[in-house]
Amino acid sequence: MATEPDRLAIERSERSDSRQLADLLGILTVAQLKARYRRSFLGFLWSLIMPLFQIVVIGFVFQGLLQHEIPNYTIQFLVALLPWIFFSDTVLGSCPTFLKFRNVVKKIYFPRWALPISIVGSSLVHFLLSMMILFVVFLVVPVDFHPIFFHLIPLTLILIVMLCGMALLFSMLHTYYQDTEYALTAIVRMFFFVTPVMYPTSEIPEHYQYWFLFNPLATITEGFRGVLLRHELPLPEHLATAIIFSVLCLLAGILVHRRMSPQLPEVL
Amino acid sequence: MAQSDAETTGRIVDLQGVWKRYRRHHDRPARIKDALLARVLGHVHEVEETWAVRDLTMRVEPGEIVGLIGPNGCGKTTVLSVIAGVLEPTRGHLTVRGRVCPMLQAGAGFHPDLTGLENIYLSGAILGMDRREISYQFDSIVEWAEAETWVDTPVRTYSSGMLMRLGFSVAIHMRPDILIVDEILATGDEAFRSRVRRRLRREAEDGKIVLFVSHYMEEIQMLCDRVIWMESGIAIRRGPTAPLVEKYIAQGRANEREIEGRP
Repeated sequence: MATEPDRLAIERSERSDSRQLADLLGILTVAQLKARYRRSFLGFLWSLIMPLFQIVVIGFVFQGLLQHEIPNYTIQFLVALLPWIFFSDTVLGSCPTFLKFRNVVKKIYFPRWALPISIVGSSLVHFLLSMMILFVVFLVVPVDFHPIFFHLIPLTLILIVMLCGMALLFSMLHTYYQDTEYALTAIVRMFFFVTPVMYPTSEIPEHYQYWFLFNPLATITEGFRGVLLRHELPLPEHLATAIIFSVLCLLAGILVHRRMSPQLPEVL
Repeated sequence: MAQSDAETTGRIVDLQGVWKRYRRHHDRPARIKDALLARVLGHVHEVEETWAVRDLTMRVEPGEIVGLIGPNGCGKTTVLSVIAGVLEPTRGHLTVRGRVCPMLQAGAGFHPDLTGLENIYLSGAILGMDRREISYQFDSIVEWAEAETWVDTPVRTYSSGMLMRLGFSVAIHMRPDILIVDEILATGDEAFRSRVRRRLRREAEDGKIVLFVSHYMEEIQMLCDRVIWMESGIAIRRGPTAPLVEKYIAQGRANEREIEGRP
């Protein structure tokens, strides 16, 4: 067999089947959750108290101090805050994954994309638990259950697709440029204000509302609010842009990850 | 267990004219801010290229234990990393058939805040086992590591010996076809090391492939059927263990004398 000097040919037996991959993702996700909550006194509860505290403070400022009357403000805020937290947790949490698992990446060959995706997984578990608590709150408030609530599932799926793409993208970017997390923290904070989280879209002058079309996150947060509190779905054109954006995000993430992943052990 | 003959005979590690280049970036912008600044100012950072492995051809058949020897920085670990799949070679033909167990660092897949028990699942999954397999092997993993009393405590409290025992035990239980062992025994006591040697020997007798790196020449002599001697990325000599190790030790002494003899 003659060896061509400048060619690279690798033949390697496949190491994982889909079942093994599913288990890897599951075990990584659980490990991320355990590592995240183990060291804090109240664990998971603590991460639920923080957003509630935020709602009380902002609610007090808006309703109490600024005398701005939005009906049911607390609950309006809460339903949009949960998907928002899912988003910001994932985006910021995915940045340092490769650095944290540097030892593994440098020493063991395994599907590396499982690391950022497990961050999406652990934030998703967190999100689902908070949604369950939200439904308990609904029993008290009270908000009546309605079959349209099931539309939250496709809305969440759109968000998951978007976040998988972003996690793949930002985890890689952060490995190369270590101020990515700072930059993203600032950007996420800015987006918190241009996305209808602490205010419903209806509070915005009508000629500005059009611009939310270009913010896929607005479609998600306002979508949650619409479905849960007004029993209405997002406008089809808003949904379409959000779906297209999510798919593009995922494609970009996969593409960037594929290109840069082989060099990862050398960069870390 | 249920391995057919076809699987056994299919195992192979084959490198044909494999090269590996490292690029060392001097002052690579580590921040977006710096990268943008460098672009605006037109700065180009220096890239230094080194060939860590040059034109390496080697073939290891089932049942063989092959040792890699050579001074630090000669490319041994790079070769192992390439075979393990962690690093991609720059050029050449590489064929690796079989389940690879990379033991390049003890407890590489461990998370410090999780317990030994949780880490058995975590590193097992990263090594390529599924949940059922890990559960099935769990007792045997703990027993082999002699970890019964401390498997419930967080890994960050472990000594390096405990870490190594548990890491090695998980790795060995993935039922690998190809075992890649890089110096991880260095921190173990003699009892543990001889246990590992016996285990590796048994794996080879079962038709597995074992690749072994160590700076302990006695260990190389006890374990390896043949060795490859590397020097700045090139395999300069290869052959049966005993004569080559003798030469290697003799050369080491000669180099020492030369250094001492300098004015």
